[in-house]
Amino acid sequence: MADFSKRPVVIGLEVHIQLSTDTKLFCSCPTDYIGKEPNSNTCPICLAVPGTLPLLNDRAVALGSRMGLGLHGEIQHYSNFHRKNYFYPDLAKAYQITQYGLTISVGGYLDIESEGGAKRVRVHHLHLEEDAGKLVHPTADGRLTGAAYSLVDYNRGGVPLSEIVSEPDMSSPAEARDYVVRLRQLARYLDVSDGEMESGSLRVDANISLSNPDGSYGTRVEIKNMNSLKSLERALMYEISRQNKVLDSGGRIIQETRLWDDAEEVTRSMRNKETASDYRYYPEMDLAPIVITDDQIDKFRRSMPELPWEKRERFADCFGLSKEETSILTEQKELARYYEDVVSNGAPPSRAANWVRMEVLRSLNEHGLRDIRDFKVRPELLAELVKRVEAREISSTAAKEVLDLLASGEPDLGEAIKRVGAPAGRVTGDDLSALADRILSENPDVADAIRSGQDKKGGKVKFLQGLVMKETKGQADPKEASEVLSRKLGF
Amino acid sequence: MQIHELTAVETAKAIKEKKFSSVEAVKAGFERISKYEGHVGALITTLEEEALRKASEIDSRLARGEDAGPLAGVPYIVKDNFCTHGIRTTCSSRILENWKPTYNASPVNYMNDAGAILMAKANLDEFAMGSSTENSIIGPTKNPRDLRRVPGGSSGGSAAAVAAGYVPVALGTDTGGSVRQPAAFCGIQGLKPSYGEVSRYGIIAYCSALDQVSPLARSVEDLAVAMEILARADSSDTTCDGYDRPKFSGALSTENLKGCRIGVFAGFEASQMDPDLYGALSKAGDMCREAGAAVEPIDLPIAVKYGVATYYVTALADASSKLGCYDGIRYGTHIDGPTLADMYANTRTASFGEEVRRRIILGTCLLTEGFYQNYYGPALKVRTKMTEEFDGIFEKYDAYLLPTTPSLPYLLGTKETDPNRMYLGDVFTVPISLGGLPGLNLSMGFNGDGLPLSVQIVGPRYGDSKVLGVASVLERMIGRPRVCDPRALGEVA
Amino acid sequence: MKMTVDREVTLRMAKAAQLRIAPDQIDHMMDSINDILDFCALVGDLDCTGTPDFSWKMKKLPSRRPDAPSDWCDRDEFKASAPAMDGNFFRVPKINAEE
Repeated sequence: MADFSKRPVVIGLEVHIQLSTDTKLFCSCPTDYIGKEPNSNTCPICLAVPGTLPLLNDRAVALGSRMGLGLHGEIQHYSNFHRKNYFYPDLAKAYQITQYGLTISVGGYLDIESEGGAKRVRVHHLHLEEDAGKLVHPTADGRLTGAAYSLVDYNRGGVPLSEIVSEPDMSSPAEARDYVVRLRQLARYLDVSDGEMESGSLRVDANISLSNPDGSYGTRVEIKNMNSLKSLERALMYEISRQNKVLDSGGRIIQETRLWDDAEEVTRSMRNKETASDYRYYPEMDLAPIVITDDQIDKFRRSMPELPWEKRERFADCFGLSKEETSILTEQKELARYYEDVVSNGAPPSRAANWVRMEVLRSLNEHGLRDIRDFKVRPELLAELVKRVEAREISSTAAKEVLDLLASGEPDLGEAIKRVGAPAGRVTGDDLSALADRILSENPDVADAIRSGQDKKGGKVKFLQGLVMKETKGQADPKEASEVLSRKLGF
Repeated sequence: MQIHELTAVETAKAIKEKKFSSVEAVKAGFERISKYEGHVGALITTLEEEALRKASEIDSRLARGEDAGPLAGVPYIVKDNFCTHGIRTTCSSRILENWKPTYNASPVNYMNDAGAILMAKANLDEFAMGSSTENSIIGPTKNPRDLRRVPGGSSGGSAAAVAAGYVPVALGTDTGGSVRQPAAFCGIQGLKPSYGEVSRYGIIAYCSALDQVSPLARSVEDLAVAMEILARADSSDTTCDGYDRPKFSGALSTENLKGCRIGVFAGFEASQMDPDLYGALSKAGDMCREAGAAVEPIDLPIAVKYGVATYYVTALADASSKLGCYDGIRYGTHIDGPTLADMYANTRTASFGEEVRRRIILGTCLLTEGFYQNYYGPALKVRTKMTEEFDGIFEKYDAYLLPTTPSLPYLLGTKETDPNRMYLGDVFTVPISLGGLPGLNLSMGFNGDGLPLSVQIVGPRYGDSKVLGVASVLERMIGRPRVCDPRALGEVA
Repeated sequence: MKMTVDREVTLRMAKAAQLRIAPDQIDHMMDSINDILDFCALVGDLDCTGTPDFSWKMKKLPSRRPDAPSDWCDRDEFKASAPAMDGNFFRVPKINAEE
């Protein structure tokens, strides 16, 4: 376990998110490259054919600005692109077009909350850039011919990314994780990106250092290749203990880039030119500058949806929900929307919150659904069910079974209730009395034992009460059932 | 007058009036080519069959009474750094020796849509890097005015083709003088438009920040008509301005220069340049005065002193980056090797010529940490200073006359090797490019030895019409250049 | 400030540009670079305090490209002339995945 007390940890993150445009950043090729034939999403521009020129995607500018605004950044009226020069087969032009210096959004912050409490992480800037293509390295026994070769697919080349660079404001892996979680949530709220780490539409590079005894920053190490939140946390943990060990033994931290190895759970030095290389940044003159007017910024601002923290606050205020409830219900805006629809269809907010965050999420999980919009129990239906529970027309226990039937495809609420076998309405009075008689006659030993005073702790009566509840599918009042049984047993 | 002696506008008019057909015009051009190309060496690829087929299409359209465009049936040539669909486009480099683009450059489409017939692709210095058209895959082009001399460059093939009467009009690219200087050396007219007037889509880049498509012709009128065809917004090039262009040929009706204020470059002593060219500049100033302009001498201290160094830093840096795409992977020459680094180095070292390799390495150096701070960074600021200097001049003057080159065309193979003298050749053209200004080379006749003289007319950014107006007045006074039968001056009987 | 390159830097620049210099040409290349560095150092002589970096001014900025996909109909023609393909992939010498 990493020791945080010895040397304070300083973490800054560079998060790349793939913008959810239909076309690439500088050409009209589609961005849905996953599963496509190699090099089928390409054109002369993204293949760097001589004479072609980049053409900036207007939507990428809008999405980048939206994300910038979501991070409380200042959208710049004037920004431009630079070329980052290096040779690699996945980079067709031998330079990446990226923003450097003058970026589309500057400053801002994101509030996080982890075990260390609430914290504001400052954002240095957000910029636009293009993604690279992909290399395939066939193995000697691979099906791809010619193990002596590597193969290049430019389908991903030119896909728009926005890179969000934080200030070094995080001091633990948990904070880093929470920052990424909240950034991803924001991107999803804004429809800026699907934010999937597994598919690579959200990628995180971390800069981490341990402070010196005098409080100054230590030597910074960059870590790449963390493909999940779990690996981000583990890689940072590993790096903290590695650096502590090096420093404890009197060693020096080398400024370098290290790759996280998910299988071995270690970071490894890249040991190649990557860290030493000079990218020779300079202004890209093939593109007009990005000019964004005040009117456009206003338009972006007006089109902003309610943001996660705003929604959390509103849910707490309007529905009287707890912090934990609001936080779960607003995690995804689709779930929050679902919850609000349940409430607007007449379900009491507090009970609806319980149902959504407990039963609905359980059911989604059981059905392997990731998106509430695919859930068969639409909000109106759930609201109706919750209302019946509230009116005590159906017990919670039975209602859960009803929900399962609805989630499995039963479209009709009445039919589902019938299938569960729960009697319509409450079991009380003469019906309850008759049922109690039957239960007693079916369990004569227990009844006799109670009558002869062998139930000092009341457990046997509880047993019989349980049978009544089971028979009625929970439609009886447990207290009333217990009273009826006791009366019949002569108490 | 014979067909090959006519200007583009005259040719178009004659074809329209059925004095001769487009097929005849094309044949006349190829007669010139077959007669002189062996001496001149201006062309990398000729397209006789295609040209004749297109000409006969134009003829049929005209016969049906259709409007086939302002240059219907008129032959033209482009420099071999314009992409042409299905037609080999070499950029005069081994790396693109057999490359056939899958698309046309926008300016090529515009010319074709105007009815012009593409005859051939002209020689250039490899990747437009040079000013003599000697660094070429097919060998040097010779100056038709004197075959012992260079035609200038890098658009030397285009300029020589126009001077030799292969075609009335050709397109080149001008980065730091690559059209104006060969136009001057070959004794014809050439206009580098303001940066942003003409689309660069489909032009194989040397320097993104400076390259500009530029017409060459034997009359100012042809340049104006070419500008009307070429200068327009293009959704494929966002550095091409979106504004509505003026009607450039309107400038041709300028009768005199009354009310015009014209500056004449006064920064050089007569001894600092060729005396005949110095004389041509004074003469052009006198002609302006004669035409009614107020003419004043004016210096250009910053641009002349810092222009060439700024240009080299800007252009070489950009070239080093722009030429990175030639990696042997997607197109062009590929020379395999055991490792990726070997494949890269094999391909690039063997397929780029020496001058190109030198410029790429230099450009790489200029952008490298440390060098950037001392070279590229300051150059970006000096460039701003230069544009401010020009802004000051054009607040007071409508046009500015400068030499195009300080020297006459030199003998083949004698290019100066002393860098300071070598750079001096570009001293009057590169500042105009760095400022994004329109610059027109106007032929000013010949010196006593029969070598072409010229002057450069410069205007404010987007003042291309003004420049064409001044040029047309002066051209009427001095006469427009004529086609020459290529020959070596020393051999003239 | 005027700068110079030595043989080592010259070779490093060539490497960064993926070009090879023949051993007997290194000095020549180095001299040639130094000549130009010597000449171009001029750009540092002009006082440009407060001067912004150069950028083009335009009369009317072209509108940005709308986000509408389009297909490229000449892809097969392009691939047919590509120098080294393996199926639909472009082929390069084997690279170690960690490289």
